[in-house]
Formats: sequence, structure tokens, C-alpha cells
Amino acid sequence: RQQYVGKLKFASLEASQGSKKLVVATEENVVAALNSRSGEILWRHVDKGTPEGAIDAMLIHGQDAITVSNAGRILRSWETNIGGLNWETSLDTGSFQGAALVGLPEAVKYVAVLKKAALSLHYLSNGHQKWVEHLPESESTQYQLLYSHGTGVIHVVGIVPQSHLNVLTFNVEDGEITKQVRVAAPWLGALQGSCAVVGEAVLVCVDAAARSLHVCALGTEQDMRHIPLQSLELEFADDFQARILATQPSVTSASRTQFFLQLSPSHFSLLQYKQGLLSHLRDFQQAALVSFATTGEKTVAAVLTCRSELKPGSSDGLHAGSTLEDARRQDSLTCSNQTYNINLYLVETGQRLLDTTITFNLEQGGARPQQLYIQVFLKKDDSVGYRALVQTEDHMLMFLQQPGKVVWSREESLAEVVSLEMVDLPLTGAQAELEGEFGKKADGLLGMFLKRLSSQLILLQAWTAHLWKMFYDARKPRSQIKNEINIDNLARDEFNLQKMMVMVTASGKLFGIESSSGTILWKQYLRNVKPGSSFKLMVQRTTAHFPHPPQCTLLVKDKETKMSFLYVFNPIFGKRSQVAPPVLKRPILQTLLLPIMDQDYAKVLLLIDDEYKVTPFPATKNVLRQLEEIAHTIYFYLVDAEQGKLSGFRLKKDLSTEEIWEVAIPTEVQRIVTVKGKRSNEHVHSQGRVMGDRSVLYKSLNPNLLAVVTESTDTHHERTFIGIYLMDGVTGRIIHSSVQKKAKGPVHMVHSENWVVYQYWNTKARRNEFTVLELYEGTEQYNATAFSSLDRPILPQVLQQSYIFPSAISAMEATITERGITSRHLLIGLPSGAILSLPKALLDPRRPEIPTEQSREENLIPYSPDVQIHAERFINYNQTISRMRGIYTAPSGLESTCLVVAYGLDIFQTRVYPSKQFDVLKDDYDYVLISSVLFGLVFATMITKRLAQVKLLNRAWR
Amino acid sequence: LFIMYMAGNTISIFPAMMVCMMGWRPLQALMSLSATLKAMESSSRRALQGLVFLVGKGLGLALALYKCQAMGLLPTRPSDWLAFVTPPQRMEFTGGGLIL
Repeated sequence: RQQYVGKLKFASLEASQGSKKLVVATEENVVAALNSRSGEILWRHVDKGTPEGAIDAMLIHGQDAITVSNAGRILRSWETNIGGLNWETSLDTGSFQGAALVGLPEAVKYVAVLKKAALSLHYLSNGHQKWVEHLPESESTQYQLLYSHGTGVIHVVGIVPQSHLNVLTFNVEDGEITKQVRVAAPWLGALQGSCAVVGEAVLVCVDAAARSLHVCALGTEQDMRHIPLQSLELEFADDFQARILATQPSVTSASRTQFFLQLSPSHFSLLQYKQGLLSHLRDFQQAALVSFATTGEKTVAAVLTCRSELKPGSSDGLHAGSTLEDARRQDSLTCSNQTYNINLYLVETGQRLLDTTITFNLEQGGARPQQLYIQVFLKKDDSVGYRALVQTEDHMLMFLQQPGKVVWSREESLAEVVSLEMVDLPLTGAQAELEGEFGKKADGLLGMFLKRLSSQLILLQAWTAHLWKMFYDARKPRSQIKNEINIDNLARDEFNLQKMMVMVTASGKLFGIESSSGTILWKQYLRNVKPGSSFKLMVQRTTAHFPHPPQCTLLVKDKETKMSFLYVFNPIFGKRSQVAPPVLKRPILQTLLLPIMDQDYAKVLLLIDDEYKVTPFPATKNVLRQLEEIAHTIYFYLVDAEQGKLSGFRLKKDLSTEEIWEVAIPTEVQRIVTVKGKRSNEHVHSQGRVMGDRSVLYKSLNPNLLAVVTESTDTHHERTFIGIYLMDGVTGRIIHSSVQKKAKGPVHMVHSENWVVYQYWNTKARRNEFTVLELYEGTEQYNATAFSSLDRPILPQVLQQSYIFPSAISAMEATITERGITSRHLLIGLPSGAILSLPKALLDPRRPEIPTEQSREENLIPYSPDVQIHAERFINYNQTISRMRGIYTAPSGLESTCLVVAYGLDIFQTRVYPSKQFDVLKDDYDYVLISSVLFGLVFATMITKRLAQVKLLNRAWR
Repeated sequence: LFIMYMAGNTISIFPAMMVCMMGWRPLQALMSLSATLKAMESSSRRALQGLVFLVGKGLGLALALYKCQAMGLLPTRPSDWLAFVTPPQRMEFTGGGLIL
């Protein structure tokens, strides 16, 4: 199991050298503390995954972390050392605007929460409300800014866009509005970003259009002073909303008078506004990120710059060499060699602090840094030391230390796995050599013989090396032996239990993870993937076809532009494949992986675009010829959930398609939520079931069967329903349809062999229920040799039963094994984080209500409506998986064993044995006893034989 | 024979052994048919005696088979051959799903 927290939203590092933790709040609605030495999670609290759990703000004061979540509804205080909840209060409704700590000159006592129409003040110690005040004119004014600096008043700034600002001043003690000022600001559209408070309550706003700053002392001045920026020779980038970044080291004292003005995505400048005078301290071009940090009396600004390749040989010069035009040419922020510098500058003067450069490298083709947090501390000799936390675009966290050492890094994008495949590891070199020998063309008897001899020699060599290594390892103490797995010694084990997990995450980063240890062996970031894209991962060639490398194909489709592209890579090493994928000019609707292969043993992938044209990949002549031959047997189905339409297509010889059927499901009444076919790698060993009277009930194993689930649009608990349709994907024939009244989603469904299991919420009885459907052909098979959907005169018999389940579920999947002999189990992910392994025999629609002789003969369990959760059926014991989103199962080389990966916020991998380990000797198998008995018997036979001979001889003599 | 009847139709080690013996003895006798015939060489109605011997042993064998059948040891039902039924070959390929 590996635990993750997700993409950072807020982070806070403690400003002392000895501190060990950093508190983070993430977009996955997690509040956690990380160990800053190792990067491990110290504690973690997972809120709901829905927007209800979203964290709006996090404030740190001493040992307490204050979070505001659920759109400003809930205020919580956490103890950061152990992660306990200090207190929790619920706030009034109203959209959340901001939160701030409020301090009196001596101590920080309160936290203020700004809502759309009210401002409330809470005690830090217990969360009780001190006062709540309504804000005047809250309909027209958007109050967005909250500021206090230990003078006993709180300033609230509201804005009426393009008109004026409303500045309110509250007394901390009783919440009385002491002053209300209206400041005209017709040029201002929004407060966030373009305005900030510097110095002693001075509001600074930037107006990019007029290239000027506007300054106003809060609560005292009636109008804004206008300061043009042309005098400072600052260039504004076109069509970029300039931003102001300021810092307030402590809530009991005033803000710093210095602030950053962001002029373009990569151009910052440090300005100072003091006593009515604006001065320019330093200019930072080519800077990716800036950040302030304070320790004691010193406040520093950290600037993350790209070490550009345009100026080689510069160790410290960073922004002097290349000009802004150059930066623009290289797509403004992309750094050519992925090397970045962090430098510290003293804010008062803008001077660079000596020996504060951190240089670090991101992987090639990696992502840009996105967020920067700095932890500054004073060293013993009063110089400034610091550590930096950098989050990149691909949600990787890096913790850096001087001079450029990466202390740890975390791959937080693994908290959002969207697609997952398991690929067999390659054979070892020796095995591959042997395999390769058979793959090559024959070249004479002698040549073959020599080749065989050489490969046997290599095998012998490998074996002796292995023996030597074992001998060597045995002499070392046990603790030192570590089975370090890296990309070079990756090899398939005897039973193919270790596999490579290829994971696609929502941020567009691909991972290759070794399944038994969970080590990340490779990672690859796809730059041009926008958030919210849909992915489809397919294995085109497995590792079985040595010497051809395995090949995976990822289809990425952008949600907005609808355009898609293919990314072809080697799933073992993560390298981009040499094969050039076809350029897709039109949006791709669906894909289909055919079982036919080209001459390089890559399965053929068909891509259907929005004109219903088909593009094959790989598109060699051989493939096209094969396709032409079998085109009449290839069918597509497309499901359009928005229009409620299912349509089937047939492939024609010229790779165009023809619509052959269409099923409309009226969207006014119900909408399609899931469509599930069968897994293509599924084997069914038994074609039927033996009944009590020894006749056979044949299963209806239609490989083209689809299960479609619809939910009603009406969500009233009396009228809501879900519908199940079993359809043939070739002919569009509805084999079975049923409507479950008074039932509600979310529906989880598993479709396998001849059965469908789905789970829903029964609104009448207020409980979760399972329904299982099984399809049988009856006691006669219609056509035992070939299955054709076009020739099925008899509809299958559908058996159905429902069961009560005591818990909601978050994911469901069935186990799968190599040959399908092992009995099936359902793996059910519960919201509590446990995975329940439920035998399919418990969900069997043939369970009789009254057990008879025959059903007993068949080993059917008598029907009982409730399925119980036994804690001993949890396959993950106490290793709970927070917010499980899916379970993936893969067969292993052993028939009894199925590999399971559960993913969500955490990733968990294990093996399950649905029918126990029937093909493996038990651990306590007594090898010594059995072999000694065997040898003893052989020995005894030999002795008695000898004795008998002697006796015969003696008798003959007599 | 009476013991066979008493043993019943349940499958356990003793009835199974008995049935095996019952089937094996006539088979053994038939194997050694020539030896038996040689012993009867002196008799005048050799052919008839041999036939009766054959029929008798055949009856014994049939009885053993019947017993096997009654015990359900003979693979005569389709369910007994179910494990050898090959899955039907797929004639069409289909794929697709929700529009991405």
C-alpha cells in the first residue's frame, strides 16, 4: 500500500531549523502533515470527495492549523503534532470569501471569516463565536479582502466592479463598524490578484490598462492616489492581468512595504512603497515563481528561475543573459534544459544573498514548477539557510535543501489514477536467448545444433552465476540483503506473480510500477495533456513476442477541443516507441482492439472518428489485407449518453462503416450511466453447470453481450428507478430488460461469464441491494462449435435474485484467472476502505428457498436475503484504502492466484486465492518426512531384495 | 451377490473394492479361457461347456457393470463430459462503448 495526499492547495512550512513537519491541505480534500525529513505522511485526514469536503482556506498559528471547508460551512482546528481535532464549529451559510487570523498587539486570539454578507470572529482556543456582523450593501458589493495588523481593527474591502470600493473598518472587541469609506475605482474589475495590502494598511492596486498603480490607505483616505509606472521603465506584457504579491510576516504587525508586481508570466519586479514613495528595487526576468518567507526579523524573497541554455557557462547569472524576447520565443515559461535555480533576495534592498542558490534538475520532458514554498531559518552564524518545497505541473512534490540536494520527492499525481493495466515482465536474458533461438529462421542442421549448444552454455553460465550469488548472499547478514529491483534486473518470476503496473493519472503522467514492491520504475509526463481529458489505455503487444518489445497505446482525448492523439510506448521501460502513430485529424469516438496481429505480433487497433470512418493502427499492407478478409465479422457499438442513443455499426471492406441498428433510450425519462461488455481476456472453463439429476444446464456465454444501466431523471424517492438492459452488441437485440422501481444509483456493476451483478440503493426499504442475473441456454446447446450473434433463435433463460447488503460500496470487480477454472469471487470496495472478497456462490440466483435433495446434491446454499460482511473476508486487513475509486484484477501464471490492485487516494496491491492455493504445496508441507519415507522405502526394498536372493541361494544349497 | 446388494449404491471404499473384484474376476477368468478349455479337453461336449462358461462369466461382468451404473461410476450423462466441452468459436468481434 502506498498513501498519497493529492495536489497541494495550501502548504505551510515551519520557520525553524529543527522542525520536522509541513502541513498541507490538498485539492483531494485532505489535511495532512508530512515529515519534512523523509516525506512520509505523519497524519492524514480525508474529508468527503465531493465539493462538500473542499477545503477553502488553511491558516497556521503555532501548533494549530485552522481549515475552512465545505464552502465556508465548517471551521476546524487541528493539532499539528498528532493530527487531533481541537474543535469544530459550523458556520452560517453564505458563500465563503476569505479567512484571516486576527491579532491584538500582544497575541493572536481570533480567526475572522468573511462571507458574502457577514463577517464573523471566532476564538482560536475553542472556536466559539465572538461576534457576527452583517456587511452593508452586500447585494451589490463583493467583499473579498480581509486585513488586520494588530491595531484592534479589521479592514474589509469590498468591490462593486467598475465602480467603487467599499472599505469597512470593524472594531475587534465588539464588532462595531467604526468607519465606512467609499473609494471610487472605476477601472477595477476584481480585487483578487490585482490588489494587495502593503505596509500599514495601504491598499495597492495595479491597473494594467493604464500601466499605473493606485494606492490608498485603508480607512483613512477617501480616494486613491495614482502613480504611473512609466517612470520606472517597466514593460507590461500584452493581454496579461498584472498581479501583486505582498507578504505579512506576522498578523500582529504591519505587512512588509515591499511587494512583487507580476508583469508577464515570467517577469516579476520587486517594488517598495514607503511613506508615499514608490521605488523600484529589482527586476526579475525569466522567473517562473516567486515567494516570500520570513524568519525572525528577516524577510526574503525566493525567486525560481530557469537556467537557460541560451547563456551557457553561467553559474550564477540567471536573468541577465537572455532577454524577454528570447523567453517569449521559447514559449515563455518552458525551460529548455529543465534546470532551475532558486535564489534568495533580501527584500529591503533587493540584494541577492550569497550562497543561497539551489540548482535542481527536473527530468527531461518533465513539467514546469507550479508552486513554491520556502522554509527559511537562521543559521548559527546569522546567515540565512532555507529549504524549498516545489510542486510541479505533474503534481510532483520535491523538497530541496541547499545546495541543490533533493531531500525527497513524492508523486502526488498517483492519488488520481484514471486507468491501469498490468503487463507481464520480460523473460530473463537467458530465457529470452532460448526463446529467440526458436524465433529465428533455420539455417542448417549443424548451425542449429551449434546455436543450441551455445544457448545451453549461456544457461549454464547464468545458473552458476546465480548459485554463486546465492552463496555470496548467504554469508552476508540477513538484514543487508535487499532485493533491490531496478529496471535492469526486471525479470518474470516463476509463476508470473510480479507484473508491471502501467498507471495513467489525471494530470497526464504515466507511471510504471513494479507490482510486488511498489517501486516506481519509470515515469513519463505528457506535456500537452489538459486536465479533464479522457484516457484509454490498451496493450497492443505483450512481452510474449520476443524480440519485439511490448507495446502499449494510450489514447488521450481533450474534453474541450475534442481532439485526440495516440501515445505509443514500451510499458516495461517507459520509453516512447519508435512506431509512429497515425495523425488523427478528426475526433475519435471509440477504439477497438482486434485479436488479429500484424507481422510484428502487434494487435490491430481500430479507431472510429466522428464521421464513422475507421483508422487502423498499425496500418501495414498485411493488416489491411487481413482486415479486408474479416471485415464482415467486425462490428462496433457506440453509446451516446447525452442523446440516449445506442447504435451499432458494421465494418465494410473499404474501412467505412454502415449503421445496422439503433436503440433509443428517451433522455427525458432516463439516462444511460454505464455500459459494460465482457473482458476480452476472460476464459470460461466450464460451459455449463451440473444439476442435481446429472443433466447439464448450459451457460449462455455471449461474448458480444452488453449490460446497459440507466437511471431515471426523476429523483423523487417514490418515482425513481433504474433500468437494466442486456443487449447483443452485434445485432442490437435486447435479450433482457428489467426496471427496478424505487431504486437509485449510483449503480456499480460487474459483468462476467454469464452473469451480471449490480448494486443500487433501494429507496423504499432504505438499504443497499444486490441483484444478480444469470443467463442459461437450457439443457441443450443450440450450436456447440461456433457462436454467432446473428444466429440465435432461442432467447436465453434469465434467472434473477436480489440480496441485501449492509453497506454502501465504492468499487466492485470480479476476480479473473488464467484459465477460468478457479471459482470467481467478487471484490467489493467498501467506503470504510476495506476490500471484501465475496464468493460468487453466495450471489447465485439458483439458491433455493426450500432446499431439496437435488439442490443439496448441487451444493447450493439455501436462499437467505442478507449477505453479511465478515471481517475475515477483508483481503486488505487493516491496510485501508481511502476513497477507493476502482479495483483492477489481472490473472497470474498460477491458476489459483489473481492479482488485485485497488486505487483511489492510496494504491494497494495484493494476491487473492478464490479457491485456496490448490496448485501450490502448502507452506507447512513436510518435505523432509515425505522424502525420508520415500528413500527409506526404496532402501528397504533393495535390502529385502538382497535378503531374498541370499535366502533363495541358501535354500538351493540345502 | 447378496453382499453386493447389501453394500448399497453409496460410493465408499469397501463397495468400490467389491465392485472392482466382481468385475475383475470374470475378466481374469476370460483371460485364462484357453487354460480352462485345455482342462476340459477330455470332455466330449467341450464346445457347450465352454459356451456356458463364457455366458456365465459374461453375466457376472454385466452384473458388475450394472452395479457400476447404479453407483453412478459410468460416464453416461452429458454432465460427465462437461469438462471436455470446448468453448464455441467466436464468429463476430465487437467493441466500443460510451463515446469518449
